[in-house]
This record gives sequence, structure tokens and C-alpha cells, in this order.
Amino acid sequence: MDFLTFSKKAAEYAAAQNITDYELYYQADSASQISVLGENVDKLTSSSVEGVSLRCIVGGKTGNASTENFTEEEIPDLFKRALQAAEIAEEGEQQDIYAGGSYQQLPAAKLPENDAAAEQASLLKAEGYALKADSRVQKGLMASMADISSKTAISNSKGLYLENSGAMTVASMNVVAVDEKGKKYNDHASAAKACGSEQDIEALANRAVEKTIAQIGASPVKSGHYPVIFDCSQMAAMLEIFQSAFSAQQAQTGMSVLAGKAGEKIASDLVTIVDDPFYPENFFQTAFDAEGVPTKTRNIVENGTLTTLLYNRATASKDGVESTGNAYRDSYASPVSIAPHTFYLKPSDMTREDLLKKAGTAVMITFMKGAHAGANAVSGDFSLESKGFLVENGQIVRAVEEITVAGNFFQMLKDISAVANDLKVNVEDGASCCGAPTVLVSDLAIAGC
Amino acid sequence: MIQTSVLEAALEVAVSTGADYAEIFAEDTVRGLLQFVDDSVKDTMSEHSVGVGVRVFKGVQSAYACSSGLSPESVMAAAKKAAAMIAGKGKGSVSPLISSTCMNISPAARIGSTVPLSDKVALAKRAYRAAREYSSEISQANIRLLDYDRNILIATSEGLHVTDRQVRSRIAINAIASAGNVNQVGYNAPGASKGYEFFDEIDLEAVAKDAARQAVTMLHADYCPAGRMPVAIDNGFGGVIFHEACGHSLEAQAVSRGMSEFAGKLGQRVASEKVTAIDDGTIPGAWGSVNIDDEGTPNRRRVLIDKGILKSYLVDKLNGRRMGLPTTASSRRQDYTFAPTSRMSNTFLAAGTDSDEDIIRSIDFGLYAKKMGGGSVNPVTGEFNFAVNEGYLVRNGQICEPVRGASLIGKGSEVIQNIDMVGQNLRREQGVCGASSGSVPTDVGQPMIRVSEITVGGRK
Repeated sequence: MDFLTFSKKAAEYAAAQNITDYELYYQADSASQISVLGENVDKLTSSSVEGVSLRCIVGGKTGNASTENFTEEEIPDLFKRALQAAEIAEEGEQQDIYAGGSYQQLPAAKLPENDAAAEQASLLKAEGYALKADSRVQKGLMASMADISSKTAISNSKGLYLENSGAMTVASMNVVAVDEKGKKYNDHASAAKACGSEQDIEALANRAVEKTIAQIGASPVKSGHYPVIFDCSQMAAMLEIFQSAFSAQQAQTGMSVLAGKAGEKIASDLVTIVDDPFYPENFFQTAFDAEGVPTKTRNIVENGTLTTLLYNRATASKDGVESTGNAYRDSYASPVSIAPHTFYLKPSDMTREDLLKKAGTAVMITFMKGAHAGANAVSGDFSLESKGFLVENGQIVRAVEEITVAGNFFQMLKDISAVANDLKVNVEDGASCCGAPTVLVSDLAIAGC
Repeated sequence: MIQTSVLEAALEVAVSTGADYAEIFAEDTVRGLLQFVDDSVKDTMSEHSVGVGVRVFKGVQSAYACSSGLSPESVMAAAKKAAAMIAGKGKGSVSPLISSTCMNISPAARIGSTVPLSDKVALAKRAYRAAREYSSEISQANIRLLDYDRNILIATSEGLHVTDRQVRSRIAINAIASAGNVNQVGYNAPGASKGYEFFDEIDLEAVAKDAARQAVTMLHADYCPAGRMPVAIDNGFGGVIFHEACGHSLEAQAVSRGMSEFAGKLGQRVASEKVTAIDDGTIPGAWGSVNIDDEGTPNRRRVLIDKGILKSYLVDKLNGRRMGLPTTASSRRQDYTFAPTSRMSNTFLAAGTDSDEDIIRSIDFGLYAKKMGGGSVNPVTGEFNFAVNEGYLVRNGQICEPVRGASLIGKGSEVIQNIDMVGQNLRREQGVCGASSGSVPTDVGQPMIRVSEITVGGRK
């Protein structure tokens, strides 16, 4: 049965059992993907996954349960599991389910209607474009195109019913190049577009080739302290790694050094960080959060000062403030947590070229890896495998690899000495994503040779 | 889970457009999560996940369709979608299904879904208290208790029809030490292919205290120096070095596409003579063990590298076709939403002959990495990284002061040649490995080893 029917049956069951405070959170994700290997189709996939979470509040105690089994028989079991969980929970701050608010109207998302045959045909040309772009590119290029759509809905005991959906097409390409000594280099490029709009495969291939070829001749730099330029993509990655420090949930449990810092200076004057649920290029804009609370655009950091942490209802109630509309579920089966929407460092009007000139000599980071282990949002410490370029006199002089960049994120926010105008947002990450322009950090440690 | 007649009909549909192989994977899984923070239950989740995935091969081309639900209609819909995607001529053949049972190497007694929540709370509380009571500098502990009961069914056009039940339990303990504006984290997360009886077999308090000890030690540690130096990596999670530097690059997913630095090197010397590496999915009760892989093949022990010579890749059926190699029972997936591919199980470096004391004594100036964190690798170039959670400087053959904030980076094919001492005390620890077929439970392990030179990503 579909979710609407399921939610009506659940309402009948809840009424019969005198269950007064509950919320159903539904999510349906569909994806179809074509992957090619060189001139051949490699793999085709199609998935459609849907599930629902039930959250019950009984006497201030919250219990969760979820299922992917949309049958009438499943309903009593779902309630039973959630009520059992509520029994052992401590009485929390949150006593009730949200009744609703006033929501911004969003245009309906364009759903996938892409022509699979045309997508396949265009992808099969990718290798040709890449080989033409540079003779050092190897055959056996991997490319893929995925149509992704997601629908969420909330139905609760206060009579609130909300729906939202989004969709995008993501093309990506992975290029391997070999230098004259047989050493291999590898990079990739991807692009997210609205469903139905055309992907420029040739441009994407050229970008992936350009990124890969630029690494040829790379070697480490001497270990030491350097001014470091984070390419926009890597500064966005930094925000993504450390965004959980802005969560009131983390702060209230002593797992964020930003706890109690609202109103204080936490970053350089040049830093303004925006959280925008309506960022125009995000394909999963939303007018409500995972608890149904209306969302709002706000500056979380303004000219270096932390204005607020990100709140859901429970943490807001504990701090005696209003929810900021940042309740989030990683998937329908995850408990409610907190996350930003489109979370980005505001660009300035300085060009990237001028930022390089200002840096003079610096290491520019264009790639980082291993953040799940090499960076810790609780401490802010990071030490990450990196690649990039050596910048001298404001000019890129050579490629750099086999280095790590290490420091502390919260110190780094204070050490940002320039912000460029080239904002890039990783919209392919979906509803909760990060973005940044290229930045200059005055001092970080580089381990090399 | 699904009637045989439905499976047979779906397999017929799946091969109806020219596929030469079809496979149905159905899953009915119950997962439990309990998070305990701040001396109280923070969150719980009880998940019931059901779904089916149908995969078809035509030569080396594959199509995979999956959907939630286990009704005959959803099975048939997935089969039709998979067939439509492959869209070729002719019709493949389907053998009658013959049911087989697999041997259960990891019997479980107290399965998570049957354990009263109050018992789970008591367990989490014990770990929480032990961590908090270790030191007044421990400001918080975050305990996550996880269990799952995964029931799978695999049916193929070759007539295979097999079911398996895979039970796992794990506790993840994060201890946070704070002083002023500085936080440091210690972590331990033991787990097993067992029920809750596992928690009676381990010393939970000791595990929690050890996480607290790591956090407090790191709180008082200075930053690690940066540069190239010899490193002694201790046993247990230290085995992540082989997992990242070499294991992923031996997966057929990378090798079959020429996307691995170890492609075409079977039978050749790829590592120092001290290195023997094993991937063993048959260790009873081990976290990374499974009775059958996710293509239905009974698991086995795989010697990957024997005294430095490359002996085997990790092969699944599909990539095996590309390579002309049979499966090594290495096909795994997180759940029905992923097509399976070649993955590791319990992967470790075999014990050697050096003593831990001799390894430390051999280092004039270097790093002793006592506790490792996770890492990652690019199999094409072999470039890998992994984090040092607890490290100490070694001077003149003596372990000296603790250092923090380090990671180790290098190239896999180089670093496994630089493993020049291997200790005797093999130990495995539990991790979750993420790749194209999702997150799967794996063990990493090794005795203490010495890497003669590696780049240490410190801050001084």
C-alpha cells in the first residue's frame, strides 16, 4: 500500500490504542544509473527504496521504530516496537509532536524523465572525448550517469501532513593517465543538473582530463609550516567534515568546542557562514525540516561571530530557544538529529588570481582524502592525505602529492586571511550539503619529504 | 521468505531478454540501535528492512534492479526491470531450484531483537560508567549498542537456492576527555558474529576504560612531528595498514578493470618476504565472517600473499568473468539496495618471528603507533592514508612521550615492501569497510610490524 493509505491505517490503529502523540516520517528514494567502461556498457541499475519511521512520545519519553514493509499487519508491530523503546527512554525535553507552522511555497520538483538510450549514447562518447583531450589518457575510462529522486512526507497525530520532493541527474567520470615513466594518475569530475536538462559530457570529460593531467610531475614539498590555499572544493569539504560542531546536540553533550559560544567571535572577520534551505542550485530545497518545522535562511557565522547553533525541537527546548528548523534524518531509519541545509562560506569579491597573489608562496590543496578517520569534529584536529600545487610569487609552479595537511579546524577559521569569489556548492550531495569559495589560511603544517 | 514457484517464475522473467545468468537476493533484516550519552538513553531505533534485488549478467555486462518489500509482485517487478535494462535478444535458461542449507559457523544464542531493551540499557550503562569513572578529565562518553539479524535468500538461474541467517552484535565506545577548550576522543568498538552472549565473553569495563585511557593520554600529548621516519604499528587495528595499502587493491572490482596497481601480478613478488596476508571468512564468530557470501558461495580462507608472493585476488562471480577466474566467495553487499562486489572479510597479516621489544629497539627516531583509526585508498595509484589515534615517539629504541594528530600516508605497493619486521602476537579488531557495495563488517589484524620508512602527517 502507498504511504497515504498506510498513514490513515496507522491513525486508525493509534486512535483505537489511545496513542495520542506520534509522527510518521516517510522517505522514498529512486535511482537509475548507467555505468560505462570505455566503449562498453558496464552496469545498469535501478532501485526504488521506501521506508517509514514512527516516533511516539508517551509521558515525555520518545521511542522510534521503522519499517520497509508497507502492509497492514506491520502496523501493530511498528507501534509495539516504538512504544517499547519509549518505555526505557528517559523523560526528555520534548513533550509533544509539532502541530505545524507557516511554510514557504516551493515550485514542484522536476522529476526524472530522461531518455535512457540517449544517456547511454552520450556516455559512450566520453572515452573518445577524453582520449582526444590528451594522449596520456588511458583507455578503459569509467563514466556514469544517475537519475536520482527523493520524496519525503510527514504525517502526525496533530493532523499535519507535509510532502516534499526533489530530483537531479548526476554525471561523473573517472580518468586515468600515465606519464612517460609509467606512473599512473587518477582524478574525476562530476556535475549535477536538473532532470531533463542536458549534461555536457564533452565538457565534463575535458574537466576530468585537465584535473588528472595537472598532477603529472607531482612530488612532495619539504615538511614544514606554510600558508595554505584551500581550493573551493576542498574548503567545502572542510565545512562538511566539521559541520557537526555547529549542532546543538553535539554542543549539549559536550562534543563540540562551539558549545556556549553563540555571540562570540569564533572566526576571522572575513568568515560569514550561511545556512540556506532555499539555495537556488540545490535540487532538494525544503520548506520544512525532519520534524515539520518551517525552515529559514540565516547566517550562522556573521563576520566571524557565531550567531546561533543549529537546533531541532528537543535541543531548542533545552536551551530555551526556538528550533532553527534543522532537524534532520540521514535516512528514514535514522533517529532525528541535526544538520544544516545548504551550508556555505559566503564569497567575497576577490578573484582567485588575486588571492594567489596575496598568498605569494603557499601550498594549494585541491584534493584531500581520509576525513572519516583523519579528522575529528569533536576535537577539530585533522591530518589529511592531500594533493595540490606549489604556489610561488602568486603563480602555480608545480604539482604536489604525497603530503598531508594538518591543523585544527577551529584555529584555521581564525587564520583565514583571504576569501575569494568562486563559491562552489556540492549540490550533488543532496539536501544537506556544503559549499565554499577558495580561501587562504595563514599557517598550517604540511608533511612531505 | 519467498515461495519457490515465485522465485522460479521471476528467474524465467529475468533471463527472458537474453541474460545468461540471473540471481535473486531477498533480505529480511531486523536492526537495533541504542545510544547512551550523558548518563541517559539518547536514542533508540528498531529497524525492519525488507527487500529484493535481481541481478542479471550478459557476458560481463550486468543489470541490477531492487525494491523494498518481499511480495511476489515486488519480486516480479524487479525481475522485469532487470530484464528490461539488459534488453538483448534470445532467452537464457533456468535450472530447477534445488534447496541447500549452509553450515552455520557462527551460531548465536541471544539474538538482539529478543533481548529486552532494559538489558541493553544496563549494558550500555556499564560501559558508560566505566569510561566516566576512569578519570575526572573524561567529560563525556557516547555508547552505541548495535545488533542485527540478517536473513537472506539467494536463488540463481543455475539452480542454487540457499538461505542464511547472519547475526551480529557490537558496542562502540567513544570517551571524550576535555581540558579548557580542548577535546580528545578515545575509541574502542568490539563486535562479533554472535548474539548478546558476546558481551559476557569480553571484559566490557576494561574495553571502556581503555577508550578513556586513550582520550586522557591524547589530551596531554603534544603534536606529532611531520616527515618521513620508521614506524612500529601495533597489533589489532594496526592491520588497517594492509586493508588500505593492499587489500582494496586486490579486490576484483579494481583488478578486473585494470584499476589496481596489483593487476597482472599474480605469482610475482609484491611484498617483503616477511609478509603473509590472509583473508579468512570462516573464523567462527568473527565479525567479518559469513557462512556464504552474497552470491551464495560457501566462504573460505584465502591466502592473498604468501611470503611476499601474490597468490590470490578477492573475486566475485561478475568480475571473475572479466578476469577468467572463479569466485573466491568474496562477494558482499551492505543490503539488498546494493549489487554485490568483491570485498574483504577478516583480513590480517600472519604472525612472524620478530619480538615486539626488538622492533621498538631497532628504531633510533620514529613513531610507535599503538592505536590506529580508519583510512582509505585509491587502488589505481595505491595512494592510501590512515589515522594514528594513539601514538608515541620512539627515541634510541625506547618508547617516549605520547603524540597526537598524526596520519600515515604512502603508496601501497611501496609500503608492503617496506614491512621489514613482523612480530608474533597476531590480534584482530573490528571495523566497517565502505565501498561501492556499501558498508560491510570486516576484521583487520596483524602482529606488531615495523615499516622502515613512511610519511607521518604530523603538525610539528
